[in-house]
Amino acid sequence: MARRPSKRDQNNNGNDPESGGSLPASPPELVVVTHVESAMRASAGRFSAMSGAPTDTLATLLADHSATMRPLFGPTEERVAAFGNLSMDVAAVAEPTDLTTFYAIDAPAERLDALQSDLLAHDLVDGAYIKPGAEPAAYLNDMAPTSEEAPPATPDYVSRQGYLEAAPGGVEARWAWTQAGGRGSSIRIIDIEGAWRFTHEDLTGNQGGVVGGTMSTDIGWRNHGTAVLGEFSGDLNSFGVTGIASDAVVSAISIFGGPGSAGAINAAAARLGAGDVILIELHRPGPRFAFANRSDQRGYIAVEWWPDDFAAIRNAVNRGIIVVEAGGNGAENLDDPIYQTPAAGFPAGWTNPFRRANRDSGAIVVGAGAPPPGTHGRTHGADRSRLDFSNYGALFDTQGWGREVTTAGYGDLQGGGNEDLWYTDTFSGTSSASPIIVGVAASLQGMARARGHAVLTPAEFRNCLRSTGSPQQDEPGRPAVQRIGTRPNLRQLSTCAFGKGKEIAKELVKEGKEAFKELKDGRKETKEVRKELVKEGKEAFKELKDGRKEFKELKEFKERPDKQIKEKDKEKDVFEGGGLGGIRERIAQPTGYGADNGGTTDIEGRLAAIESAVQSLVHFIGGELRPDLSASALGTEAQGLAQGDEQAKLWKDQKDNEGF
Amino acid sequence: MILILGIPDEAPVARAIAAAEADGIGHLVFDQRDHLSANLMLTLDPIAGWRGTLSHPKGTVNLASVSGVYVRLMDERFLPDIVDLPADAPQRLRSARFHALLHDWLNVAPIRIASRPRAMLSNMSKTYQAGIIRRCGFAIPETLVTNDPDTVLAFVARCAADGDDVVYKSVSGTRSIVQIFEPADRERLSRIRWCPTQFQRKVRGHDVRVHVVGKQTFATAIRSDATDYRYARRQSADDAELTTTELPPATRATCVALSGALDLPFTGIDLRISPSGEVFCFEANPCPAYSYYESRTGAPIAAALTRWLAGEK
Amino acid sequence: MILILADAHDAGALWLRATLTPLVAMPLVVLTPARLVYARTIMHHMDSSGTHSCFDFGDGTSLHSSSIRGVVNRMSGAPTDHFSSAEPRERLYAASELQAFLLGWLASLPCPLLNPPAPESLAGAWHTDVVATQLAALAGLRCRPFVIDADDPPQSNSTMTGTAHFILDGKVIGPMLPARDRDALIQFAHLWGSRLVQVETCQEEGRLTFLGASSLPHYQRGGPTLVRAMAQVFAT
Repeated sequence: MARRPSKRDQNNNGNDPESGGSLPASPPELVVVTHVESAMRASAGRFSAMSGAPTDTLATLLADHSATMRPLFGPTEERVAAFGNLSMDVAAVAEPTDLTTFYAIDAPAERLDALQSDLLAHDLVDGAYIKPGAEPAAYLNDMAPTSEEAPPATPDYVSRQGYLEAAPGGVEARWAWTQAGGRGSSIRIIDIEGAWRFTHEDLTGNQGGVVGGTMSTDIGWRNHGTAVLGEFSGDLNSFGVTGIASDAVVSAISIFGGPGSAGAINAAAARLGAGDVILIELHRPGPRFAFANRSDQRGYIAVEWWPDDFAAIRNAVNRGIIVVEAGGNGAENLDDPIYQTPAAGFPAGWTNPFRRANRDSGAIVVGAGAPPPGTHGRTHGADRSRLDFSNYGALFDTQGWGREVTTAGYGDLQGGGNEDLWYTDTFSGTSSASPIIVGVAASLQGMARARGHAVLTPAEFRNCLRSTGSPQQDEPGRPAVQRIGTRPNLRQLSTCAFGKGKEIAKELVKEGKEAFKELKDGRKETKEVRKELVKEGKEAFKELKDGRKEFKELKEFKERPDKQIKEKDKEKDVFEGGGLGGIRERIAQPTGYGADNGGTTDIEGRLAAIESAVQSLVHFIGGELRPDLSASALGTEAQGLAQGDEQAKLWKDQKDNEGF
Repeated sequence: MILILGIPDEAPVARAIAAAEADGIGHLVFDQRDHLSANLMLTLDPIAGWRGTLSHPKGTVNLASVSGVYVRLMDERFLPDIVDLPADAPQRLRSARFHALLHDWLNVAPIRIASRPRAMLSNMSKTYQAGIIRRCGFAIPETLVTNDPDTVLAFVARCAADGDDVVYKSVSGTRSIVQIFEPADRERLSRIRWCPTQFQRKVRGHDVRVHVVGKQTFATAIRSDATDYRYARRQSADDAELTTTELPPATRATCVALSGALDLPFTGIDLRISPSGEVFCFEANPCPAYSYYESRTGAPIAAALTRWLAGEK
Repeated sequence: MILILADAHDAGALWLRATLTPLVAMPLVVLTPARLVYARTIMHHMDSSGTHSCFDFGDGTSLHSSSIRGVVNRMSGAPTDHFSSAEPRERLYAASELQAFLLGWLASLPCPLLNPPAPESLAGAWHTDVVATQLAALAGLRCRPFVIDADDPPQSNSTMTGTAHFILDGKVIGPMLPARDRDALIQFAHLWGSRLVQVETCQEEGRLTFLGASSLPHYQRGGPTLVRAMAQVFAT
């Protein structure tokens, strides 16, 4: 359950006083990073260092503070390591991040400071730092529901969602909806924050619910999550709002109840794969005001600045998952040198990820830009200019609407007593900007899949975002050099992502048409062969339909695995000369659960086999060009080689053999 | 402690042992020739997965104490004490079981492995690997795999019109010495009818071999007149000339990305840089014979490897 | 068209074809590995900008990669009957070359494949029992106690069939399960590495227990729900 912030948190450096609008932050987290060489194991009943270093003093230290220590990213270090090592994706541009050295400390809040300094002094500990509680990146979203009850049927508010419209005002979502897959079909999204109203009338479709953590009961968090979802997941129907990617399946993970922000990001990454999207709707007080929570959120920054969050994001990106990260509402220039200095207790070797030359989380960092002047009758500056609260800097990849976002929740547009019918006209912050980018990402990936194209890697998506879109504009006091990025344009993104294929696509269409014609012409001739195949198939199928035969089949099937296994061994003997035969030669012919893989018996195949068998069979690449390297490691040629000594010497040549 | 698996006096293994010793890195060498007197005993822990021990002539090691493994195993069927035995001999079967279990453990152990047997398999198809190479961002040479002589001749003519030769080589992991397709080869071209064969437009440029160890790269430039520099003396009567070289950061990053995409944290990547600067990649070798390059250039690859296996970033 | 790559008497494939046909808008064509391998002309072309391939068959028809919109891949091995008269060294080499060619060709198809090939098997990712058990344990499934060494290999598990679950693109098809078990299956499928995986389980000691898995599923046991989900993969 969510912990209410303790007196200690609220008294942090005494800032604040502004009333209203601030949500209870998640509890502060104490994170420990151990030295990788010690190979710590603090799970499954163990507490030891595999390096042999003594851990009793650490154990005592924790006990003295009534604290326990557990791996942050999984139940055991082995599971965490396996996750990182076993599932690298093509998108990976870095070695798997080492997640095994991160630990979460569970301890009473009043002990955290003392515990942190004691831990830092210990040999086994590389870093120990306290992360201030995270909050959703919503700038003073203090809208209250109107008192009038909602009408019997919610009107259609889609026309108020200007962000769906054509560029430059919108992101061209309506165009994307005309493209196959353009509503994000086959894509999964996980939102990471605190709570959501999944019973909302306009969020019923393609919804996976909360899949990790425990929801906060605070209505502020709940309104926030609901509003976020509405922007990309609002159901496609005749009322309420419509999400940019309403076909994508959306789930949510709460940072409350144990995982913390980094644990939640990692849990999301475990459930998703290449092409999917994670949304981090959080920001956190940074060094500007000494890490103090403030209701005006000044000085709040993106979460990747903290080592465990960075590692979790990097690991997710390495799996090909697009991570969209709110840039933060702290009105900060993230290029400022203040961010180069690590916080107290960061591990040695930490570098500032806000400067990507140091290291790059791979995330898409989103800024908040003004909507077109006059949206909903209000103006917040030039279209696409930086909003005053939005962080900015070189690492900002793109912007979304940071004001006037119409979506579900809050109740200021349509209110009354039933939360499931609430809508807002004014959702704002880098909180409202980031979901737009999520919708764009899901739409683009859905289009990729529909075309049979590979999904975009996070790097490709970022490159396309940065090289296309409607440009940021100046506003007095907030010039465009305070970079928040362009507003995405899905038409241009589509060309960037798939454009190269256009010429090839034209050729392929031509080839395809020719192929179809050949097929039509050849159909008569294939009919005979096909008839045989269909006949065989029909017989097999008939047997299945017959009740008695079906039971026999089931029984046979139950026995079959043994039979299949025996056959498997037999095939290996024939093919590979008796053993597993080295790493390379093991070409498995594994059996399935229902297939009958017994040899090739189609008529045409047999005829062709006989035909080919008549010729003398020597490969074009003759034996003299294929040195036998099976035993070269032993310094001798393999047995049974029919080559002369001289030739053997020539093959040995200068270079040792490679690979097997 | 790191584990080194292979034939100890084979150069790549010997260098790794020497490097571990020089750096004081705790290591155990398992001589693959001891396979019949060794055993791997595994028990399944419901939470942490496989735990167990490797027993060998010099003692028994708890697998939980191993932080990294260098895998340089040879095809076990050719080990001297079993190579002459019939296929169903008990020693052959026992060796097969031991190696199968060893490969299984190497495939799942949650530690640094250079490299996992399953990952090494990707090299069994050059065209399969080429797809991954291309996705990572390298250029790949124009390649044709076909069983039709007319298609080959049309390809050869098209390349000739651009002034390019065509070479032919194995698609599978069985090494073939790369040769240029000459007019005389047309006579036996009909042999491809019964087995599709790989032809490739010869990329002009200079060869660079990059060894990736974790995130580090070691690049070696190769100058040779031969089509296949590995067999330089045979093809051109001169040995190849090797020198250490620097690659642009983007190329290095792509090499590391490829290594990651293939799950081959220790790999030898063959590049050819065209005169226009385009970087072509032919293959990533899963079990590189890096010693050949280290001995000629002094690149500290073995040291980097053993340090990486010991846990260095 | 959608290809079903399967042997002529692969009953499962033929059943699938019959049940899938009304659910997809394109023709479903069964293509045997033999027909593929014995094609009169085989051509696979790759370069930095893309890949295309073409097979011309003896009956005058052709198969271009651009006309393939999806593949149900049940090809676990390449036919090599036509090599049988070659001497052993040539035969082994040609078989390797053919396998390598097929792996590269299948992997290069831009359409959805159920399942994409893997180096260890053309029909999709495949793992030994030892590896599969580790993946299952990591995913959070209960596994039977297992001890193994080179001198004492376990008996092959005769009751390999239990309850079948199918995981397709991260969704579980099969009997209703508690969320924890469903998540474990999804994570297992992710670690296994195929888009479509069949996992066999049984109930032991009050928990869902892993028996085995395969990238070559028995579609009938997944029934109409599985077939509909497969149709959806090809529908985009």
